[in-house]
Amino acid sequence: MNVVTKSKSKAKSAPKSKKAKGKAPADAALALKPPPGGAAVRMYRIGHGDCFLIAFAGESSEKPAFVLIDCGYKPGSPGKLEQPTKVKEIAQHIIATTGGFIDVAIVTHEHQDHVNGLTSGNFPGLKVGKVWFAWTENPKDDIANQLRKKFKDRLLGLIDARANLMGLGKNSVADDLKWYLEFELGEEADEFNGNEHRPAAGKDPAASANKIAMKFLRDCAPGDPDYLYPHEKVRAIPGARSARVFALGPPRDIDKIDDLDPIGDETFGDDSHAMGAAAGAGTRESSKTSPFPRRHLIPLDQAFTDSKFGDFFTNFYGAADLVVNEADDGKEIPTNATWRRMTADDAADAGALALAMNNATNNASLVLAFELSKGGKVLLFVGDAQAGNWRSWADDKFDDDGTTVAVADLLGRTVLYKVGHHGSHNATLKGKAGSKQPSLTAMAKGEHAKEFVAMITAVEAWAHQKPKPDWNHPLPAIKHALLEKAGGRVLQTDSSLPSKPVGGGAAVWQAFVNRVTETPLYFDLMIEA
Amino acid sequence: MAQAKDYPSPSVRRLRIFSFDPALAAQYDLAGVSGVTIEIPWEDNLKPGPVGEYIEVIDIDPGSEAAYAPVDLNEPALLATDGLQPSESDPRFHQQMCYAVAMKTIEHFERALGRKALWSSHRSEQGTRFTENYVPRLRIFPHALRQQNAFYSPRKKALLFGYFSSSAKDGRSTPGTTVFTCLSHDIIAHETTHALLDGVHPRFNEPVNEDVLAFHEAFADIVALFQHFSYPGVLRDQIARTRGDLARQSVLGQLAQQFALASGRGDALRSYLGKVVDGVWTPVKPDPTVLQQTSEPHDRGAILVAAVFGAFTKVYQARTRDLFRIATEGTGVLRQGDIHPDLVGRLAEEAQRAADRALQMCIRAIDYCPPVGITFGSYLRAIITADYDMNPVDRQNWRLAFIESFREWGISPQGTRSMAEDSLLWPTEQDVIQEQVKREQAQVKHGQKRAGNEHKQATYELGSFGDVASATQRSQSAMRKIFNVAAPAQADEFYSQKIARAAPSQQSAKPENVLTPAGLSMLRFDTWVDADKQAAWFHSWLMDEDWTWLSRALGLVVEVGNLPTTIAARRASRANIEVHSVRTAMKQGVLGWPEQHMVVVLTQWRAGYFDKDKQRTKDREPGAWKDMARDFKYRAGCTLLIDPEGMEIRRVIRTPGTVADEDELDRMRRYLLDGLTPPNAFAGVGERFGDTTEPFAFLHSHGGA
Repeated sequence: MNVVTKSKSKAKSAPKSKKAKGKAPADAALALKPPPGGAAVRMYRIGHGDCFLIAFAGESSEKPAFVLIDCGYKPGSPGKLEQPTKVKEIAQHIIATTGGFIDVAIVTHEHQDHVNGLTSGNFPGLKVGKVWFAWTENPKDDIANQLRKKFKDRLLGLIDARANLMGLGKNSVADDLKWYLEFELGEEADEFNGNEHRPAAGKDPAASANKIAMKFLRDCAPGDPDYLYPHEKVRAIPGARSARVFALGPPRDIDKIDDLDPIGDETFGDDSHAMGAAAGAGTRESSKTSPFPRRHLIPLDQAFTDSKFGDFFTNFYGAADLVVNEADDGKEIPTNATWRRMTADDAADAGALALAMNNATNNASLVLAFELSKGGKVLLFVGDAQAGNWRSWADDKFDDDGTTVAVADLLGRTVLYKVGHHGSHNATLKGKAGSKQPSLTAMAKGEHAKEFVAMITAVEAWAHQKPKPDWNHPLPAIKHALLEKAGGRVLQTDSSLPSKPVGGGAAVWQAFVNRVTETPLYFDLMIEA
Repeated sequence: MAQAKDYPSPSVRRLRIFSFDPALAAQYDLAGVSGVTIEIPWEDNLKPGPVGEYIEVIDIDPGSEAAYAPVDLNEPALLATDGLQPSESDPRFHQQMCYAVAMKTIEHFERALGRKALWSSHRSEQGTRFTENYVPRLRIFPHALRQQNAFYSPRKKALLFGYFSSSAKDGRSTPGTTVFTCLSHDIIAHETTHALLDGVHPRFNEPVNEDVLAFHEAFADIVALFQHFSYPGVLRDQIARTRGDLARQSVLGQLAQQFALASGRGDALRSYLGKVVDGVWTPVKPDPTVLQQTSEPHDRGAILVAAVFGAFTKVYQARTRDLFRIATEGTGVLRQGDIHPDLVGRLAEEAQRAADRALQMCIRAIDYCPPVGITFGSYLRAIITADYDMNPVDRQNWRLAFIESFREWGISPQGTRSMAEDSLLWPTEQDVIQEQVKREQAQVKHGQKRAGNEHKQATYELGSFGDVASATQRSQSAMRKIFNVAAPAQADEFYSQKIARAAPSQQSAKPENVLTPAGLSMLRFDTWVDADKQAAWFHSWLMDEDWTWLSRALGLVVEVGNLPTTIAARRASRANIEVHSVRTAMKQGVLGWPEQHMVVVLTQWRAGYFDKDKQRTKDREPGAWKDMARDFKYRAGCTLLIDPEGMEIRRVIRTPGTVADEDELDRMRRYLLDGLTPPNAFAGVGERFGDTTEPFAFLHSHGGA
């Protein structure tokens, strides 16, 4: 449900607000020029996904420092925009605006809707000064390696589980899994190898589309990427005059990244982090995996024909191939009714595990607070960070050349918030007044409240459509909270510039409108120093 | 009993269980009382499994591809030793424990509700017809899942318990050991309560407001908690160890938390009973503002548990004050060292008695709840009314304690003028008649001839309800009819199916097809069939002229007239009314003699749309209620408690609005859109209502919200 109403172009067009029709990729007038000492933020309308180009005031006024944050979308979503866009055009636009050289390219986390636009086909000849990843990508970091192994095992286990479920005809659960796997791989899961499942195409998950995109970006820059750790020293943005960046997340504590506890840590017998056997797998020595001593165990395939207890299990449960008809109306149910048996979905909750994996990747998002100048305004980009990540921001303070900077201070100066994970549940913490936790309430205090803008990268029409499961992005409760906090100044990929809300100050609204440029391809937001 | 028996049948079976899960026991302190023997009703022909009248334990472990042999509790070797020795490594003990705790919970329910417990029926579609089947036994799978989870599956009519490896970071257990949720008393009692509640109120699964899911959770926690307290011996040891100051509630509150922690369910109860401040456990002060700020089901539920626990503590304190006076000889200060064992014994006994009474009050209140959309406030009214109907004179001030404790936690029912006991009681038949007369007279005074404007009352002539005297007479004759006169022919296919199931009743003085209280010695299957049969008769009576008139006062809509067509109405002018079932229960009457009462649950529904404009259009479209593209079903109705002897309605418990009420419909809409916390970022709005959902699995799992 789209709460934001469409603006009426004739009534609301102020002199500076432009609404260009048609696509003009190489138009010099649409170059991204930041105000002196400030920043220009361009949110590309790439679909249900993130793609941001920020221009910070550079050393010389002619040459701003360009920063690219993510470039990805869920396939099918650009077509659902009122004026559909194409990733190739956006990529060309980026190259044209930056002259083919981006000072810093950042990927917050390895999900399809943040990376799948980064291909050599879209960005031919792109040059990048520095690539920034979260520390979770660092091949030399022990904790990162631990996380990666766990993730890989889970992924392989889930690919197997999905194949099994499809084999058993459990299509609805298999479908849910499909969507989660697509986020992680960047493409459809069918052709990939699991631990056991080897399809004809036999693709290696280590060479999935997501991985290829990450590699592409790495190769665009000379030298190694920078891996950002939270609460390290404040980093200057190469090429920018005064802008700096604070890394708030992801946390170094695995527990805060990985929501699920303890499943996945230890299993029975097997070494893998995936769950135990999905039903229907071939024979294996179940004594290895059962928690009970062998003398108590009756292997399931023999239970129904067992000399002592075969009758019991047949009468009260029934072997898998025993089909029992439903009783007539008004009668007692059969003792071994089919619908009362357990299924693969119950025994090993693949859906929950997949969700946990998805959450963990989201929680490993790089969270960056860009400060325009020392003590100045802050632009907050959280990727898809969820609650565990948010709560870790205030775990430590920053040491800025002797001065201590608290995260609460940074949040209080935030004038732009890139809403986490398309405005979905758990990716924006609302927070209570006076609470010490990082949250929406802690942002934009005092003077900055009048300037605060939120950007939501979501295409609701696509999120809601069937036959894929119905995703409530953005969650209405979160959208309302954002509209309230920002006084209506919320930009969303699939919506036009909103109209002034009832009761808001006209001057404040006009000031906002003057800073925004809208085209079918992007929104531009100017932020003064 | 076909053949004469040589020896008298025992009345109880003694079985040993773990009182605290050994793998999760928080402290060495609890190790001493890890096992306890409980007494459950004796079942003569208990088969291996155990498989009895109410429960069947089937130990199949798909995650290990294994099955475990069923235990035979009637083996002489086991009968002599009160069952198997508590053991983590023998699956047969796990089966024994599940059976024992589940049966204990059922016993508490039957005692409080005054009737045999029935599980919710199995419904299926065969072709175009709906079939309903009787579910005799709740199934328990002690080793169903490899997850840190345990839940009741309404679809399978089964409890599924999980097991998992404890991780290194969990300081409470040795890493690598297996933790079984089926060995936790509180978890078994909790899940069985979900199943029992589902049998009484199947619509309590549907989250139509922020209290519904929270209520299910809180109620199950309350039953588990008080049931745990009521075992002899468990408290005695703890009260002796934790010698404390005069604030005795800290002992019990702390115990409650420890039980919960030891059962692995500490999280919900932890925050509102007490906190450890500087190494000392201190009780949390009730805060009436917390409820408004909390929306997550577990947290909200925890407030309800804290409120009920607070009431229990108040009464317990009052009852033990004299013991402390004696023990401290009036000084209020206990001497150093251990407290006297006699004092310990008496304190434990008081706590046990109080826990038992509190448990009964809480369970009895279930019959006094509105059929859908339970809120904490209406649950309070249910508790007060149920207890009042049982003991009008409350010498120990239990009701006052509940009211006070709920008020301290900010729980209050909507629509009542004050929190005094008499304003909290649900209305009687007389009360609702008077109310309706007054309301219609007031509307007539304001010049309205026919209802059907802003509040969309049914289209009948206002004032035709009559004055109080004539209305009372008419309602009395309506009631007498259903008990004495044969019910009119049932035109509805669904209900005539129900009548057809029953064998014709034996010779009786009363004519056929008359509302008759069911005998309590009936077999459970016969009770089930009878309940449905009576429901069908009741349904046909609702179409009678006198009842159509009376239903106005009962919060039901019978004549649709020009009301929104989104109200389900299979026949042209008459709204559908679902009569869930008609159950007969025994309760203690005023003189202490057993009395019967009948519980009738009536609901109606209306198609709801998220978009208000769409709703308005559909409200005018004929046959709109059949539209399958509706976004949700808004339900309303009432529960009636009927006295078959006096042939009158003892209590009328209505939902806040009728099915035609626009405000309530809007409230539900707003809740679904804005308030309902999704289980995860990818869940759609309607997901909680689907036929294939497992509402309790998400609530209990750790991967969820």
